[in-house]
Amino acid sequence: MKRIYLILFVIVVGLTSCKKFLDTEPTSFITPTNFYKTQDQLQTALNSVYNTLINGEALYGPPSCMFYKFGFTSDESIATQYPETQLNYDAGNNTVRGMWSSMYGAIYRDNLLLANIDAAQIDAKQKNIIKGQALFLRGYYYYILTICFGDVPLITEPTSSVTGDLSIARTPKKQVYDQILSDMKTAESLLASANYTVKSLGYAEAVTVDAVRGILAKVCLTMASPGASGTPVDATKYQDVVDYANKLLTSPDFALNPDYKQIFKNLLQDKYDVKESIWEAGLYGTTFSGGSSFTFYASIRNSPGGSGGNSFGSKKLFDSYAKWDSVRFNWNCPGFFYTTTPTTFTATMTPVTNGWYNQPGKWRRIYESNFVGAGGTGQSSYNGCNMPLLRLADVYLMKAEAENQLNGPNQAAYDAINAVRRRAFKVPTNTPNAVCDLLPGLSKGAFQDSLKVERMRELCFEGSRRWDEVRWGTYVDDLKNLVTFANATFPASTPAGQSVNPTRTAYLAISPKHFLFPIPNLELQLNKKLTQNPGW
Amino acid sequence: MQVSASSHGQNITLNLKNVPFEKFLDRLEQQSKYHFLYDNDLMSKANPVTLKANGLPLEKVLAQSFMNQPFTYVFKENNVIITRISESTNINTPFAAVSGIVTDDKKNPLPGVNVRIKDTQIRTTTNNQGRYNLPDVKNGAILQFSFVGYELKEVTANGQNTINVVLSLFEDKLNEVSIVAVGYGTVNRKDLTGSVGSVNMTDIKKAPVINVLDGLAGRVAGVQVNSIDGQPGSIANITIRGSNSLTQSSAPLYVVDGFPLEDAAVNSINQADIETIDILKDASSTAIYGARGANGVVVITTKKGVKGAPIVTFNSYYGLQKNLNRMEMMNTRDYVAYQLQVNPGQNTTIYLNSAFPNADAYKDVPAINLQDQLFQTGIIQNNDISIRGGNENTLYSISGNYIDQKGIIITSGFKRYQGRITLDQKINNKFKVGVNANYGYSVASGTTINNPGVATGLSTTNGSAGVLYSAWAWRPTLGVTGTPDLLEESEVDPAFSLNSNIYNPITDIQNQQRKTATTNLFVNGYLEYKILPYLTFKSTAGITTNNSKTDAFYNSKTYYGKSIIPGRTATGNGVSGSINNSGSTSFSNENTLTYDKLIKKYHKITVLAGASILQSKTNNYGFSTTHIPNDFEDLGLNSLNLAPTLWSTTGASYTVNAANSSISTLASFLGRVNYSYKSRYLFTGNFRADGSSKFSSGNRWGYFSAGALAWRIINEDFMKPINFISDAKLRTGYGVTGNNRVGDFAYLPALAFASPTNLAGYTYNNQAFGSGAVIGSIGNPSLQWEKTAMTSIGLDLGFFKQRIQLTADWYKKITNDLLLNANVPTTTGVATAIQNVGKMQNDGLEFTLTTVNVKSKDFIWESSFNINFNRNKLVSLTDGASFLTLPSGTITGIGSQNSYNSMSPYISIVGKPVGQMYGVIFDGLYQYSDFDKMANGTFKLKPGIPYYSTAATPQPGWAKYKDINNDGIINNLDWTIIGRGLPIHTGGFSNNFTYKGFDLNVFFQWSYGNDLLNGNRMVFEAPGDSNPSHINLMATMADRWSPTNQGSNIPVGSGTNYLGYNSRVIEDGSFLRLKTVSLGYNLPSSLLKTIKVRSIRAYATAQNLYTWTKYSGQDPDVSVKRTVQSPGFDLYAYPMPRTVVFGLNVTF
Repeated sequence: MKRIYLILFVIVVGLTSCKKFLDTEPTSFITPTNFYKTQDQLQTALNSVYNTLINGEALYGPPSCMFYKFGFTSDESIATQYPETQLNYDAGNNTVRGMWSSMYGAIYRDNLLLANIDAAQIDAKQKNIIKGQALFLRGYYYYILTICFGDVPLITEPTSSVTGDLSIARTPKKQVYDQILSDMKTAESLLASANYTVKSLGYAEAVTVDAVRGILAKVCLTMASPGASGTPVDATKYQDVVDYANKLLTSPDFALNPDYKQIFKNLLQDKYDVKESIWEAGLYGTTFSGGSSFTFYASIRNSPGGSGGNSFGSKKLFDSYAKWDSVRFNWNCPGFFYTTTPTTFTATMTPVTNGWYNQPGKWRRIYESNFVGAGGTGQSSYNGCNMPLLRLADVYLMKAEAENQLNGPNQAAYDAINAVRRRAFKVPTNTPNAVCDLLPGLSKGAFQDSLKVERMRELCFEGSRRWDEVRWGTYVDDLKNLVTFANATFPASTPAGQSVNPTRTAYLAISPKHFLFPIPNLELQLNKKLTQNPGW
Repeated sequence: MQVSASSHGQNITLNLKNVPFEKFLDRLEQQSKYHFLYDNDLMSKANPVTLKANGLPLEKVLAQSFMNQPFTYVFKENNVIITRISESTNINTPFAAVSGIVTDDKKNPLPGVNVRIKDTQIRTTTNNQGRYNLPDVKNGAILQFSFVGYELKEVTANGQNTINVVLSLFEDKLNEVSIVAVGYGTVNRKDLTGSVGSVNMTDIKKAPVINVLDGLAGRVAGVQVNSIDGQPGSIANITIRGSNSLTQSSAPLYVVDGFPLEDAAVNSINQADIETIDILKDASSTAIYGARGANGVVVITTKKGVKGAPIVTFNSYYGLQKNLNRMEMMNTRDYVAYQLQVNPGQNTTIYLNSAFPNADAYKDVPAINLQDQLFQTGIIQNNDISIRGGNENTLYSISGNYIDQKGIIITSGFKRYQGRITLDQKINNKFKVGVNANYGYSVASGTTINNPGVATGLSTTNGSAGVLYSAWAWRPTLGVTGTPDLLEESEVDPAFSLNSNIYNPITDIQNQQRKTATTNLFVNGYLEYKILPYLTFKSTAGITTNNSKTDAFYNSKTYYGKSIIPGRTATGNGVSGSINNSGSTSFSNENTLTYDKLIKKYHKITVLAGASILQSKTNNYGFSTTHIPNDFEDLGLNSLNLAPTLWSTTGASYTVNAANSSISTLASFLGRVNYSYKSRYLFTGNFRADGSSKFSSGNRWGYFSAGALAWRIINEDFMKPINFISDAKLRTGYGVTGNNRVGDFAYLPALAFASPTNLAGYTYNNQAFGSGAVIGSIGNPSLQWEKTAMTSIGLDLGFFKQRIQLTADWYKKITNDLLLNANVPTTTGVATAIQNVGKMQNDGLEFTLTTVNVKSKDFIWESSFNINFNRNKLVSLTDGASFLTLPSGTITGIGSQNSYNSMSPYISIVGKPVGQMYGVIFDGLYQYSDFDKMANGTFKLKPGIPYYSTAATPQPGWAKYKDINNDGIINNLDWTIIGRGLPIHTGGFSNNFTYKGFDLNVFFQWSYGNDLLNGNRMVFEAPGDSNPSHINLMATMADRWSPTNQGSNIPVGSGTNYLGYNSRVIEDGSFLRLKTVSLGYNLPSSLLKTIKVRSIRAYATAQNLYTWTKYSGQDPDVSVKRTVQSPGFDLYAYPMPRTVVFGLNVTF
């Protein structure tokens, strides 16, 4: 019996030490509970929220959904590189799901950061700077989500469980916008209190109080615009557009670059011009992860470092430039492609005269700092060219549009649009100029029409057009008109010297469902409360 | 020790008449070396002796002279002790000293045989010469001779002094002493309640395979073994009774000498050292391993020392390996004809001139085929040596193995050095200790043919399909533009750029250094203490460490290491290399108490209770470097520290480091009750509680139990008259077991930081990339065990004294709470999370038939046949999910078509078996009748005939597919099930023939009803690539569709089909393989005696001799990139060689 007791004793001792034996700690990774304590950790967490701007298959990283895969499907451009550029996508499309999931991924990381940041014991000013950026980015991702998908699930707390029913319903767009405005306005005050301005930074990849104000103007303009339904989310928001725009336009920190071309050369050479280019996506490196590819896709055939070669500007864009507008015209519609890949600046070029055969000239890779002819070591299809997310010219045009909508084509509206036109003509932006100024005395409607064209001339190939047309509610009609225009004007045979043809039929499939993306199939399956967008 | 007088050959010559007994004994002492010890009192009663002996043996003399004396005698060492005959002893049943030799059928002496007088405690064992001696055997007593593996023999003593006995092996396999390992103990097979498959080690050892698991295919019903391919050192997949898990491992638990290993370091175990392999298949057997038993348990027991003089065995073989099937590529003429078809403008000038005006002119131009240089005759050699011996108290064994395989692809090979020592020491009658240590060092060299990507940390260049791709695609002629030597010897085909994914594979792999060296040390000790005769305490402790070092180095002549062209972007890595160390260490301690008692004659009870702990640590450290200046490449791996720190154009680091480690622990309590009544009614009950650190503290403990009942019908009285039935047993059981195969910390969320492949950070002001913290995995604190409930019924039947034995088993298992890396709504922030969701079902039938077909004096033919049917069904997935496909990037390398990388050619649909092939259905080719001929002579598809949405307009001879959803477009909406991944039945058929000294083993293995996805045909038979110039294709392409060959089912050329998986390349993967044929000759013992050798067997064995299959690919036993979800995929598989070896097996 003694032995039995001994064994029982051993078992009891064993049981009590079992708990300790089974308590293991991870040895090579960090859990969120051990993080978000120091300023560096918070900054690292914030970086991952920014990352979605530049990561592949997300927003502006290769192959740049917002700019190219979907963004290029507007009446200013035609491309054939991906099925999506010819409206060939459905609810099973991986890129659509990729956008959806990467934005919610960023929102989760952001929510984790925001849930933990208050408890971190760091300098209050630094905390405000990080928190302000985090709040703004959450708002920005929800803004992108809602312009792409309409009503979307609104989640502002980090995910606490991945078991059971994870279904969550779509939140009406109006409420999503309320959250966006609330996040961005808080961000504005936090960053303003910390004096976190783009001028003080000298670079544009970070979210500053100026970026917040400019994007707030854009959000408000979107809310006030009619959209697909013709009914704006909130028509009263035009005044906010003007207010936010004025915060930038009246600041001495900002001025249009006198040379339109220089804006893009600067970007290609990783140079900052924080007076004009207020917020940029910090694309970086020469790989799919983080590098940028839009200069590859939207570039002139045989460009150094590579070119997709099958992206074109539309004849509508080509024809939109007046004679005085030669700077922007010659830059955006180059009228040539390289005969062979240039190694010096004196490249041989094949002329292009037909408006349908013009390739995007805005991102001229020959100006990249690592172009061999400039003493560089050679270029990759991926590069570090930042994507401009907010330019001062855009702020002027947003103000002009809002003023016109609020008060008709008043002086403020004219001043704003003319500033942009005068810069294009390389004359002082404050001085009236009879050659390039918009015809005075236009009706409200005519002014709006001019403004729409002006946005295309100024902002073409910057990923703006499609979203503008959706905002105006003209997207479907504009593409249909482009198809008609193409059928009427496309050359019967390939012009001499051309070997790659733009696709006349790219937008044949356009229908009202394209105002919004489909909700990804897999999400619908896994989330019972989701509903599909109309037409998909 | 008993000494026999006759063994000393002592013969006595005496002539006595009425001599006093004492005097007689004196005379005997003079003639023998024996002393007689006796009590003087006894001598007073002695009768005088009258005897006439002329060279009579001592025993005879004694027997005769003691006949009418009132006392008897015993031999004790060199003494003969004279004792009184007890009063009860009947003077008429005298005693005799009995001695003799015990041999086997072949007259080999058997040492260690138990010799016992029935119903007494008197016993002895045979010595090294097989001799035994019993001093006083009563006339009429029954002598029992027993020895493990041999039939019990009983002989009645009738006063004779010599009883020589021949023991025969269990030819009739009555199973009486067939011991089966069941985990924490063994049982006699007759008392087994569960379903345990035992491997016939004699048969399996005849197959010249390096890894014992490779030899298991087709050997045991219910155990399915799938080769990955023929790469030396690759380890096969084993599935027992169908897969339970969907996204997690379905590998069984391996228990080697009581030490559980989830990832058996099987390559370090020498199959010659293995005594037994028992495979626990049903829940009642595996429940003793609780949380890790659900996938089945493979119990491996290694050989220990044997009592007796040292037995030295030596086994050596040497053999050759040959590639059975090379890929047949187009000959020069067909190749040129094809090139002229696909790109007439450009290729006319390359392939034609006045000397070669057309393709036919190439009729006699020999084709360059790099397979000639890539494949070689493989060599395999193996040497085993072992010494086993011991005595009553100490048993020992020492063994060693050296194996060296040179693969059938140049630079590939495998080597292993292995040694094992076991020692078992009896300290006293109650106390026993032992130790078992195994050391293995193996080196697998050469690139992994089916997955040529660069090792850890280095990024691979897109589109590289590797060695076999390049060897096959390499064009057979340069045409009229150069000399053939240029094509054969250059690094890159002159028609392609240096960045092409076609690169001379011979140059490539000859300039790589790739090897994985694995060191494995396994030490396991035990102590056993018999507290009471029926109560035993056993404690074991073991440690196993496994360290792998993987080296890779690519010099400037390799595809990955080729020069970076100045002024251009680097697509290669430049001279580069990596070193990676990964290790694991496990420690285990197990303590058990076993109570084993027969109560009241009929009730046999065995109770086991125990506790165990297991701790496993893993680690992985390594680094890789690219862009080493070419000047240093001669230093090989030692140049890794000479790479510049940063790459100037991007700021990216050249060097990538990896470091991580992890830990997991498991604590368990276990118990088992076996109860048997009259050996007729048997019951087993199992229980185990497991606590695993892999789950959060609230979910740690899992409880698993099982029960089984068996009825040995044969022991019932009513069976007695039925003579032809020799065994009948019905078994049934039910139980629940678990699976905890998830990451060590899957329940915790993990932050991941920027790495070269996951630049999850951001950059400001053109500064260096700032790291980002992303959620690597979200963690699921409510994770729990995956549970499998299994019901099984089995029947064992034996006929005609076990000449025919049949085992039939039926089972059904349902796995609940699957540990599933399930898709979740991405609104959670992640796309997948490990969850306990879903349900899987397997049910099946297994039959094993063992027969002795012919048994005569000289000729024996025995066979063993097994077949198993398993049906798998995915019952449910995450709520709302109706199917699961492979994650993007699981299957890569279909030519240069990266778009395939995101496709899943497999789908697992709820309600159907897992791992079905998925794609569009091939519907023949477009024919002229499908088109309207346009005015300009072109063809336009008639309205209503479906086409592919993203390709150019189809033409006659292009591939056509079924438009499942009738929307007029062939696209991903038309994907459906196009093939069956799992077989309907698999099995094996083994035959052993013995004729005199010859033995022949013939083993067949088959798989029936499964399909294979022939990925090679996707690449080399009308591939989806649109730019096929200068790439050779399969010879079958010569028969492609053309206006004059409209009956063909092979599309007209490349790029003429839909870019996606399709049923055209799904083929029947059924096969019947003559897997092993082994012919041996045992030298006759008469000859052996003169050279003092116990046995010599000379043999020749052929492996993979012939395969009957309809499969057009290299080998139907293939499954590269295998997961539960993706069976039967064939792409760039290392060919399965045919092996012929010659060997010698010698025992001293």
